[in-house]
Amino acid sequence: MDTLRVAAALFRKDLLAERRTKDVSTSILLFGFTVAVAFTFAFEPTAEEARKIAGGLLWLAFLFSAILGLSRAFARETANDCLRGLRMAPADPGAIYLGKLASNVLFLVLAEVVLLPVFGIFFNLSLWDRPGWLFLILLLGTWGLASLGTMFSAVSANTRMQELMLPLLLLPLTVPVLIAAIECTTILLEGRPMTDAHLWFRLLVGFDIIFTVLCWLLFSYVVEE
Amino acid sequence: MPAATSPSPPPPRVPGPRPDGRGSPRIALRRLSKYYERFIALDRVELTIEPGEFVVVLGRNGAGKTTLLRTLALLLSPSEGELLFDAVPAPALDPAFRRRLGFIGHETFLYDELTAAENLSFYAALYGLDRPAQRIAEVLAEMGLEDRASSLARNLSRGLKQRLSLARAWLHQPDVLLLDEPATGLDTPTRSRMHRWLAGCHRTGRTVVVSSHDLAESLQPATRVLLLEKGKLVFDAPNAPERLAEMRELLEAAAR
Repeated sequence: MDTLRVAAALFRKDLLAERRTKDVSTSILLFGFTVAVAFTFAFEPTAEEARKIAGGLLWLAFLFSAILGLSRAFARETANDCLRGLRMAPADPGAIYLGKLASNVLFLVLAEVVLLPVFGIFFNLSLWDRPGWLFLILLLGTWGLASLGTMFSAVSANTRMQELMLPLLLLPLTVPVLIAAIECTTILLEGRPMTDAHLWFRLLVGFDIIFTVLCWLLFSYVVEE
Repeated sequence: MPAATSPSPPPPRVPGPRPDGRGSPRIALRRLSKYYERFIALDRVELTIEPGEFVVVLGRNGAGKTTLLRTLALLLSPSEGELLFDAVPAPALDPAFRRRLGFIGHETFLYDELTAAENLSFYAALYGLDRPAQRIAEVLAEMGLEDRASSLARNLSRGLKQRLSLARAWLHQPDVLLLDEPATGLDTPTRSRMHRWLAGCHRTGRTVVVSSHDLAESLQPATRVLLLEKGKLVFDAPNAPERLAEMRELLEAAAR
């Protein structure tokens, strides 16, 4: 109960701070929008080509935006040494991870929901034929990115080369979740039955569960001095 | 906006056991050392702090005061030796035990983008306080910050931030207050009020451990004085006027 209470308190605090400063959301949205525009002018695809490549481009844009957003995830906690204040809380340090993960997933999914129509317009895609599946892919893919990203954001927060460290640690390990999310999105955009994405969904769910539990258990070593 | 007033002492209580019947824990350090690579921050410190003591830790910069306070706050693990609370080794303590500790470090642990009340509300949620709004109002009044409840932390002066930090550490009414040079950044009247406030906390039966490098100022409410030098505990005695000269001599020797 203490773990959930601390995680929920941290989640609410992040929402309040973000609503006031808009640090993370602004950087994610601006970056995502720029990437979407750049991809559109770089490829100028036909409608058929767009359905084939949009899944990959969409997730590349989400990945780059996520790295930018995740790199800020622990910036608030390192200012004024707030992370030590959190570590004084009567709960295991994994609670900090869960609270941060929840807020990161929310910020990233909200940014993706805003960026999706931009991609839809630029690439002339009909994204909303199966909104439930689309949202599920977004959620699972983003959860996978955020599960590792939150952990590595904490690892890199106190390093000298924070901006370099996070992508260096994150990118190689997120390849499976990225491939699975791209495949699922492409199947969705091509209008194929979602049963074709069965294996990719299993990979996404498995990745999310394994890395969330692993990072939660290991987080105390990350914040230990 | 009216100027915030200085911290007011907590309501007087009869010295002795805490009103809730819960005593402060007995803290014991057994040959405790802390290394940072080759640097020895604490060197085989042997120390027992009885419940309800008011301990002042003196020492020049780099003597190990901060490391000692952070270790007592369970923020650092010893490299060697043991830290025990009521004979229970620190690694075996339940995370809920942290509820009994309050810590003020060199930094404030405050979120600049939140108001004073929101910062306290967040920490109240972390500690799962009952009736948080009432407790936050109480503690803001105790620290003379009731007029600054809706000010963003980033807009507060250093002294007001320090008072808000005191409010944060005191919010959950811990049994042990650990304060690392808490007077830094405070003007003289506020420092005096803070020492009176700490003495008031001590009178309620709580253990208070304060680090300082200012001998004259820090000794007033203390019952015991420790002096650290290069990580070693070189002086440990009750606070007695007749030993003041000895303490001053040791502190000056350490500073040379």
